[in-house]
Amino acid sequence: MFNKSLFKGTLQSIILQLLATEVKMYGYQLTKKAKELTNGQLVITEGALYPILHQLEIDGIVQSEIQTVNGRERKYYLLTENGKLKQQVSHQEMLHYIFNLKTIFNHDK
Amino acid sequence: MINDEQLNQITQYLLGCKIPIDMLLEVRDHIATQITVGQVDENLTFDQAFQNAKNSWQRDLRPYWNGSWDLEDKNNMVRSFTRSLIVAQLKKAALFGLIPMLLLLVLATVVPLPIYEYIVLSVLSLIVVSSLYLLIRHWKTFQLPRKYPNLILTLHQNYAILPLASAYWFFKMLTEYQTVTQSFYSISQFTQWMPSVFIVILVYVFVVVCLFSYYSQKEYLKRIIGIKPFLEQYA
Repeated sequence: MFNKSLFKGTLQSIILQLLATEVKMYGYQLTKKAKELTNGQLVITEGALYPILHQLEIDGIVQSEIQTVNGRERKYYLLTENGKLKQQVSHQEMLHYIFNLKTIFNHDK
Repeated sequence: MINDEQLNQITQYLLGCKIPIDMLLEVRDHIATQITVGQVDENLTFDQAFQNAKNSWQRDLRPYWNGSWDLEDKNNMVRSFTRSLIVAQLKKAALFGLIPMLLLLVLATVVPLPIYEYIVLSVLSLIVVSSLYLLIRHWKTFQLPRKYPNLILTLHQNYAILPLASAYWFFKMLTEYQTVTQSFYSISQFTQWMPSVFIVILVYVFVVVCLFSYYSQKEYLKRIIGIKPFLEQYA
């Protein structure tokens, strides 16, 4: 795992991107998926994940639904219509950002 | 598979960490899933897997006092939630608070002063009454935190009764409504900027506080639906 602070500013975009890959996801699933996709490089801590999810919910970007699984309540998150638009914008922004970073860091090569 | 007794053990641990109930249900499921995965993938006992889960949450869930004015022990997660909640609600209140303010400033340019006074009073009263109305209508529900003093039902409970605190300022505004009206009028007519700007800013802050409280009440009422079954089971 590398410097956590590199991910800090992009965590919201990462969460939106992960949510866009499934119809709905719950907290543990999001952390697991991020870990799997990055071969364990990106560990989203629970303390960072849930406040962002709740803020996205208040902002109307995601909505939640409760389902009972194995006798306990599970909260699933899914993108709202507004959230889907936001995710597309965020996706484009991240691609531009990554492109610019690559340009800068590959400059000498 | 986690049984009821084990689930209760996780619940009691989280209650000890002073987690609000609306967050607790979600965090409990997360920890229960972590434990199940530990049991299946690493062949751990419940106690071992639970201890591992506790260790992974230690930094976020351990309550401590960070020198804040309220002298309360809180964990990092609650602090983080509170911060993001206040920022999100304030942003919303500040944005929607601009609508009545701009409306009043625009109306001041076209409506004669005697009628305008009534409009200012009506708009401000509507904002205050709407949050007071929710508070009075659901008074019993808003009293639930008092019934369960050892539990934090939701972080929104702290801001839901703000209209009572702002009532004094509202009555102060009612008694000074001519000054308030004159301030809006002066700004829209581009005359006598000071102290009118100051008074209009104060009114805006008042509107934002009322809207902030209104949104907190709505969120509280929404969340309490999911909390009530928990209270019947555990409290």
